[in-house]
Amino acid sequence: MACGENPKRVYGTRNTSPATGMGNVAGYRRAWQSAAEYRARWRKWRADGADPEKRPDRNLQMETLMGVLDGEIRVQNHCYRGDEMATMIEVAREFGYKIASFHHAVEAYKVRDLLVEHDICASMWADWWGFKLEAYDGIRENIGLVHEAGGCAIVHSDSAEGIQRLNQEAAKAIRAAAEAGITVDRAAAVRWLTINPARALGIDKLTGSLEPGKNADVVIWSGDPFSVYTRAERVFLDGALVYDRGDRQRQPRRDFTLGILPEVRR
Amino acid sequence: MRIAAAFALAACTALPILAQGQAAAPARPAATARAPQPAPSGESIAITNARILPVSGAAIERGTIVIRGGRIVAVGAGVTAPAGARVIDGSGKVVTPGLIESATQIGIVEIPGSAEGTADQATTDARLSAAFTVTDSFNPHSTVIPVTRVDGITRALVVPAGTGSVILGQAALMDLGGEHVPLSVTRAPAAMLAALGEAGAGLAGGSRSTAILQLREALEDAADYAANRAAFNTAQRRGYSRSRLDLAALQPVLRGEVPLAVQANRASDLLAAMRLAEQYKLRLVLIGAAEGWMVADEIARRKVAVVVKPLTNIPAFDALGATLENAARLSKAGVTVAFTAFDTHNARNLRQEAGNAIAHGMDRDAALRAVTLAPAQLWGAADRIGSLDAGKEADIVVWSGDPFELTTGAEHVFIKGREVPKDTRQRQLLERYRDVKTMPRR
Repeated sequence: MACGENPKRVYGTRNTSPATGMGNVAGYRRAWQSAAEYRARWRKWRADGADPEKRPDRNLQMETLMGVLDGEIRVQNHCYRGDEMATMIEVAREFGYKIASFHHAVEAYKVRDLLVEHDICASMWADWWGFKLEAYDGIRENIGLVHEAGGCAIVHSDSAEGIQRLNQEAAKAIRAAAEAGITVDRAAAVRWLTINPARALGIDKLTGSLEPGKNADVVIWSGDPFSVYTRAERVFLDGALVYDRGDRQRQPRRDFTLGILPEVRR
Repeated sequence: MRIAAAFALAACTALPILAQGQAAAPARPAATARAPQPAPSGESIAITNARILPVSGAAIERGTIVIRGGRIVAVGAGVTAPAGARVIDGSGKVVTPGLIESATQIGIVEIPGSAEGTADQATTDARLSAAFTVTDSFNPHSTVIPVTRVDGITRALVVPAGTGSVILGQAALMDLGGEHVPLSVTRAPAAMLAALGEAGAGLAGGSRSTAILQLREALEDAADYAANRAAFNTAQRRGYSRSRLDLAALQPVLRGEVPLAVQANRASDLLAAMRLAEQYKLRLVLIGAAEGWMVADEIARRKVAVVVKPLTNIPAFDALGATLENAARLSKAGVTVAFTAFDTHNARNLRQEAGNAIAHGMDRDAALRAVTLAPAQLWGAADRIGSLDAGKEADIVVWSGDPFELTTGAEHVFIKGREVPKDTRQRQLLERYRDVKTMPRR
């Protein structure tokens, strides 16, 4: 789900709703009401004996939304501004669904108490700000402030470049937090990159921490993972060695790169 | 108050005659709280006992650097703080020159995505592209400036991003002290920007070849204009592909006084740019150069400098050879390399770019040079900034540790000898929301 300027821009430029913040929320409430009624029809049909002759029409969109209302599908909500996060929390409460995480959440620090109260994660950039108005109040202490409040802080990238170095993004957040008087130990900051996102994605029983019984998703770093000079040496996914810095046979090579450069040494 | 101020500004923009009149008058120093305050005249500042990386020479352990009257007056291990100087204890700290970002839109772009009126980096006017000058739009009160300088970036090459022509306009080297033009101008024009390769093709009707031709046509028309100015002004000369102002703006480029900075990535495009520059005897700087490493020896042989973003490694058809080792390989081949983060709001991540260049094989001194002395040389200001030498303008950063580590920070930043205040709009937001019990809404 998305709040804010993106839906306003995408639909507004087509001269169709939702062209405003109010339009966004009205559209969401309309959809959730339809989903609630759809669920009621199916529940009633089952309760009445599931007569194949009287089966309600199947609607794949409504079925997906029903999955959210039933707690089977998690909501990842793109939302920059604090007031919009607060509004979306109200919508979720009205219709009885759960928001797993607000994404970008540039103003999470302004509503960090609400995020903690409603057990909602915030998936944040370390330092992106200002490229649009809803990102203008982005501060580098955002991650540290959510963390300090006891919230589920996640470092995300939303970028093909940034995702390659989430550890460095976290390092910047550690520094900013420290300057604001928030001490974050390395072990806590690792959680921003591992168990917290696993929790937001609903896979924390499988991965996100090093515990017996969990999938063996393991990284061996050349040193302090928060140093700019540190490199991932080996990466295991489900126990399989999928990357080895010292072994070219264990480095990803896609079909795409074959034969299009005289000598690709990437 | 805020609304009244906004209206006053809007009223000004509706009065171009007034603005014109002001342009002729000398600009005054900014009198805002945001601008660094000048040190009392004659006051000396000494940073003592620090590890000093002057860039122009070897590292100095437990050295002292003395600033007075906006300039560096002494640097060395045997230097002592003058009597009465403000002393900053640099024990355990690292001191470098102020960092220089080599391609950004700081000061000409505020909120590009939602407030188009605050974005002045581009023109669609193909008639006025070479003449396009960023200093005419530069806003020293941009909130991006304090955020950038508190992280140790003291000067920036502010570049245009025109969409009307392969010639994008004139870049200027600006200091981030927060003063109005011309006081904040270090050098203008510092470069003439042009786009070749895929971007140039897009601006020139769909082909790399046309992009080259349009550039060639502009240069030849400019040369013809210079030789026949009187005839042109009396309509005795053939028509030109460019406006009079564009032709005039290209003269210092033809004379080799201002570098032509060409944005291109593919190896073949870099070679094409070098052939063009050689033909017209231009000073060339390559910007982007993602496949620079593939033709590094050729770039080094021609003594062409490059500006790279070291973290560029996502392959595209314009840059299939993009690699994190580009900067290291270019540097090892003997090419003069400067860095950019290709960002405006996060130009402050320049040191992360430098750190990653080192992590991927670049020599540590060369990486520091790529954000200090190398850009100072490229943009024509090496006599004033870029290294810690007596006589140079005092752009100095005191770092809490290794300047390229992300868990360190800039503790003191000086621009032209004035200490930059820590205050930023972001810091004020932090203070307003620092205590969860008293923050707004509670």
